[in-house]
Amino acid sequence: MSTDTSKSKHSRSQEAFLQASEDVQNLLRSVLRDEREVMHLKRRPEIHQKILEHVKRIVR
Amino acid sequence: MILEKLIVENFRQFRGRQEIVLSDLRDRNVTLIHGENGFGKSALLNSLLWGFYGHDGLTADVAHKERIIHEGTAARSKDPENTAATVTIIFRHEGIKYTLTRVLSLAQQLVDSRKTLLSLEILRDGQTLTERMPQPKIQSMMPDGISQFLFFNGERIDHLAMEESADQVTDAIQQMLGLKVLRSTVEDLRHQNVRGKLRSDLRDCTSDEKAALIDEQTRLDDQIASLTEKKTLTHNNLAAHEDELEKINAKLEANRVAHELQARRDALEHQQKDLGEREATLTKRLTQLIAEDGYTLFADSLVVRGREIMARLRAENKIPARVLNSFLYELLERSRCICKRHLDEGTEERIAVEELLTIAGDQHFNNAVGALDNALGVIEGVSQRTRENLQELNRERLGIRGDIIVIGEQLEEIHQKLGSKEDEEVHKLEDTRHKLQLHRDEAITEMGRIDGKVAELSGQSEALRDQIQRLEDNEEAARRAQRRLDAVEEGIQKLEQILQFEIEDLRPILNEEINRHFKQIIDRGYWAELSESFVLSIRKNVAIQDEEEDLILDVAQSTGQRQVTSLVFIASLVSLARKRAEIPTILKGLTGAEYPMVMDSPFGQLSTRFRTGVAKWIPDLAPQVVIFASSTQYEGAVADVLRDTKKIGKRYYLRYHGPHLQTDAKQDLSIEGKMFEQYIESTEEFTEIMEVEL
Repeated sequence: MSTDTSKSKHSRSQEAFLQASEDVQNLLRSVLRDEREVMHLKRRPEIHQKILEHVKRIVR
Repeated sequence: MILEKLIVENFRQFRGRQEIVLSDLRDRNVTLIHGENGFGKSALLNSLLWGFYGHDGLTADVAHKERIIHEGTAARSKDPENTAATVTIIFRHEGIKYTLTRVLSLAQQLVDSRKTLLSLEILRDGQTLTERMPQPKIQSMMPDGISQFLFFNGERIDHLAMEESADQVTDAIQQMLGLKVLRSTVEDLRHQNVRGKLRSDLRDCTSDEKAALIDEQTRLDDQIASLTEKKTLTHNNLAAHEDELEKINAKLEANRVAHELQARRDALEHQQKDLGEREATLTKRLTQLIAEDGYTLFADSLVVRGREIMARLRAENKIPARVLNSFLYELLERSRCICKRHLDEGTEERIAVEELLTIAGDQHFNNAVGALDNALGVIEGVSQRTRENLQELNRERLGIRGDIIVIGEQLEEIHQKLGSKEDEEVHKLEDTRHKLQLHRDEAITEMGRIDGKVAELSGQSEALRDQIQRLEDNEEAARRAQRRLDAVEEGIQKLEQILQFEIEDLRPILNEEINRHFKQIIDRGYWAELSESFVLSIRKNVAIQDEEEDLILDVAQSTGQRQVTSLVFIASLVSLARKRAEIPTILKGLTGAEYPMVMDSPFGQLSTRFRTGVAKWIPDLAPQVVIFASSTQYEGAVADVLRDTKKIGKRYYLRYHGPHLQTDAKQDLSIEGKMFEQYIESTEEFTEIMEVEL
């Protein structure tokens, strides 16, 4: 079902994000923050460990 | 980013130190570099890519990538530690000036040419600072993913406008407009070290039944990952085969014995490709026509039967209904006729009125009779038109198919002739070419097979995930592990949805930009468009007799038209990247950045009409434009139009020293009536960069 966002102040992707559960929203915010710091690096061995730590911290 | 100066020293065919000062003036933003084929245009383009990204940045068509240092210089060297290739690029980015230097010594080249020394100096407020991590800094200014859209060979970008390139088009949008982080986050969440680890945590504390399902799902996902990897490998092999084929073609064309036949084959293969595209467009239109109106072709007997029934009912005075049953029910309800007679149960009068009900109908019934009449007429009309259109399209398609078969036979004939030539070199080249073609065909088939298998396994994996989620756990540890895994799965789905929305919402903005650029090149009535399925196409309006609205048709594109469409698309991305901060996105803090565009042979495959259009428009492509062109690509209309734009700020030519001059190259270059010597006979091959001063 498509969502009518014509009257909404949010874009479709913002609406989609806000429809996620609170845990998932927090998880994605944290992971994206880390990803943006390392996005230009070819080798980034710690990113997976950092994501796991975010999952364990946020989802209890 | 604005490039100010490029210095190459012993890089590939450039012997000694050579330099180019690029025009950084906004009103004269074009730097034009003349160079015949084989004189070093591609090497110069690659010097920029090597400078920024090292070995990995070199384009696929560079032969012997491990030999970076000028061959003669390397061969004569007695001091490998102090013999080196160096590329220095001085550029400005967001108001700061940088000097990048990449060096490869001969000693290092002999061990591993991938390992180079890179330094990046920053000049700020009169002070020079050295960047501690130069490569990541360069990546942050200009990620290597976008470099393919900024530094490219104009003759090799036409694939972007092919139907099968929708993935590459969306990838380009993601790369250029900063959405790549969403894609890499999805990949990291899916990674064995993240999702795999969480699955394994759940498996260790859940029921045997659920553990078995998790094992099965892991097995499926491993298969999908391995197939995806195989597809990437096959895709890379395909690209390598294509490059090899091009080199073989070039060698055959340069060979005196094979030249004529190879040139003919090249022309035929282009024709075959264009016809294939036209056939695909026609097949698409046929499919659409059949899907929308094809049913009418099978409705003929139904229409006849419908008409018969209608005629019979009319003859029996049953349609249209002359008496409304609502009126009769009202009389029966009141038990009194309009003639004042009583209609009591069992009376002769009541029975007479009840009998009238068998031929009566209501208003809806009469409306339905009218609609049915109309529908039968419409179906007949549509059926007739559909039949005619199908015949016409099919005739056209069969004609194209026939042409393709004829071309196929001619190509086979050329293959037979070249394969049986007595010249040993031609024979070998033709044999290698044939093998490469077979490898290429195998790779294409393999990729299709992998796609089908991945789709099937993904469906099975998703079904298993639902099944696993439905199985309730008793232990808290297992429930928590399931919640964590669910959060990651939901996060992946959400990010994929967000990425799709972001790209879809960018499409109309991008289309406005594409249209703005395209209008500057081509006639009215045509426009370029990125379709909903992210296929780049040229479209046109066709007026249809007796119809109020024009029909919009995809234009079957030639290689040259695809080159223009791809160029327009890239230019549109570069211009959107510049104003990225003004375009809404879910990602915070995306800033705009300006980039130069460096193009080898942008006029290569274009017809005269397109050449002048592109030449006129090319200064508007990007804030800074660097063009490499051979004399055949440049002379004539392109030269006149580019001169008239008054946008050429700097101009150079490549002077080649070598034992032979290539067949299509000229000894002297003529610019604005002045002659420049661009070939000097020499036993050693090397190229000098010369500034043109008019």
